[in-house]
Amino acid sequence: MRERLRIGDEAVDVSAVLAVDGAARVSLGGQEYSVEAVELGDGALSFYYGERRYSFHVLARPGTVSVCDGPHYYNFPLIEEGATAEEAGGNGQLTSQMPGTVLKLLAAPGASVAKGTPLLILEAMKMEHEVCAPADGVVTGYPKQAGERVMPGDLLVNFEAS
Amino acid sequence: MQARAPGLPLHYNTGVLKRVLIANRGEIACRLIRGCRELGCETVAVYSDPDARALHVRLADNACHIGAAAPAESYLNQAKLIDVARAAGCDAVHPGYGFLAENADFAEAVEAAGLIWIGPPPAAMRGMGLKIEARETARAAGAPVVPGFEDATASDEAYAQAAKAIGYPVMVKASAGGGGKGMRTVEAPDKLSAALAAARRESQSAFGNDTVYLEKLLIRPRHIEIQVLADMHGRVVYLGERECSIQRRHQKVVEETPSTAVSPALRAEMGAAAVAIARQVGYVGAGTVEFMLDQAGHYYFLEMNTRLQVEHPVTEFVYGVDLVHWQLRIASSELLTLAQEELRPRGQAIECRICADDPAAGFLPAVGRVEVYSEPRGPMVRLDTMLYAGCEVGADYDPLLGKLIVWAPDRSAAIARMACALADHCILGVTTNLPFLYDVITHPAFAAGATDTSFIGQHFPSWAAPPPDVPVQLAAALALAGRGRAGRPTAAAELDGTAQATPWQSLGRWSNT
Repeated sequence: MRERLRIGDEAVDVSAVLAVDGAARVSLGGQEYSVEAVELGDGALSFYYGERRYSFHVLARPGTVSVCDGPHYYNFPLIEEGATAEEAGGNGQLTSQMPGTVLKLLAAPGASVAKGTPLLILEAMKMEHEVCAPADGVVTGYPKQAGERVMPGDLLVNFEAS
Repeated sequence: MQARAPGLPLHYNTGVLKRVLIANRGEIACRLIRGCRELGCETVAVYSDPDARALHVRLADNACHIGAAAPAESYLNQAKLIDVARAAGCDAVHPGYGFLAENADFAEAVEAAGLIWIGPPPAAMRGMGLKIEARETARAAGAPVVPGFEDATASDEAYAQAAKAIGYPVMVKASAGGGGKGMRTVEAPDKLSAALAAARRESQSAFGNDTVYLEKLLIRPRHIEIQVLADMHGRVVYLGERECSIQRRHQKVVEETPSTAVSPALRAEMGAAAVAIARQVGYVGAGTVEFMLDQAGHYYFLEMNTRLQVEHPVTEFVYGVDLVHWQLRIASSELLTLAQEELRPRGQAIECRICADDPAAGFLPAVGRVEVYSEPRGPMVRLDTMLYAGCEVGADYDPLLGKLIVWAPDRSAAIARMACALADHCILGVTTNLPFLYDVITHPAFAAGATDTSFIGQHFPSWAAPPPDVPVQLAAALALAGRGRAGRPTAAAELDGTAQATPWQSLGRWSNT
């Protein structure tokens, strides 16, 4: 099986072929790796790679693979067949992660903004949250106006990174 | 629901409290239920629609549905809560923190219904409930307060003049505020009126009261608070300080005791000030007097929290007391038998607040179902949590999921223990601040005790996870490959007796395809 994951800013083809003895051959972006003694169950994954044993917690859900490496957490979005370069690259769109109300739009559509510039204020759980530019770029529009309710996954700002 | 047999009552339970209504949810409801059970009190939990499967509902002896998700219809519905308490045969109500914990009207209504309010007298709550009055009380008790301006009827122009006189930067604060809501820092005169408007708007929406006041912004202060316990018979003691300087947007993130900035002499001085304030207001029960400590070592009264604090466990570890037990005992009219001279700090305790928010996305609250879950274990590791595997985390309430608390003989050992415990705690399915907490705890400035309220802004202006190394990417590929085919034995495996197969075998089953 072969899938594409977004790792950092890159779309990476990944595949893993497991043998009955617990060894596996994993391909990451064309690079081949051998791992051994793979065990996976109830969210716990361990294997040998090189001379070391690694243990993680993992969760593969539709659309995302998550890895917990001790204190560190990683989410790798799955890229669907036929996704555009922009979706694959992940730069662009700011979505709401929680239900709330758009309180205020802070940047004018068309404005060039620096990374970290507040673009919009979202009210949720009686707190105001600023949504900021993820990179230097241009605000191309706001799908929701001030006062509108938003749900998790709703697009808040159309943004083009420069 | 069938009432569970009560636990073995501790010898000091005088039997006044037999059944307690827990008027709260989340980790604190669980904490209170455990404290009650240890004293042989039954508990009645309440829950809103989305909390039907919550942990506190499972833990309590009995549980009553009280309404819809919106707090006004459930956890803030005073009449409903009192009806439930009476119908369930409770003799007392414990409000926890948040929701109605500092609502004097509710405390009065509880008492008017013939129930015991496990908290301070309503008059003491009123005296401290509005920050403007609390500042006056502290002044009367002889405690220093932060310079400020507190004329509720003044025009914005008068505020501007007062701010100029106090000297920028200033803070705009909601008189009814708490938890960072209705609070704004103003660096320059031209930002004042916008800050006043925003603070009033937020305060009105959160507390139904838009009175604000000004305080001088202390530069890089530490947040130091003193725990007090007072009984009905005039005895008041303090249980040292907690330092809660590590804050994000005025919300505490990491707390510890003792503070690296508090000497025994300063502890005694601040403790005496806290006791004087508690006496001034006629306080009974567990309470916390919050102070700011400036870089020169001067302390100023900030506010008094007339309830159990989120961060109470660090005090419990270092002073060897159970504050919930004392709340229940004091509410039973017992004598406070703790002697001030015997209350000495022992070792170091640190607490981290685990929240459903995404540190990589500006700490926006996250929602989801906890799919993979493991708890940290080990000596002197305490986890107060509302989570369990399969638990749903919604957006209806505060994002606080739980608290991880550790104790060790000294501060560096406590930091190491906390780092290990954070690394041991796995929550997948809902994004949490666990990796951020780890980075804070392991930061050299934290190890040095160089903690003040600017810590996060200074050291973590933004936060991102480290880039994934090759083993992490291999783990992602393997998890993807094993998706939906690993973890649980198949029906066939159970039939052929290999249901105890290692997880690898269940993964190996499909490897030929």
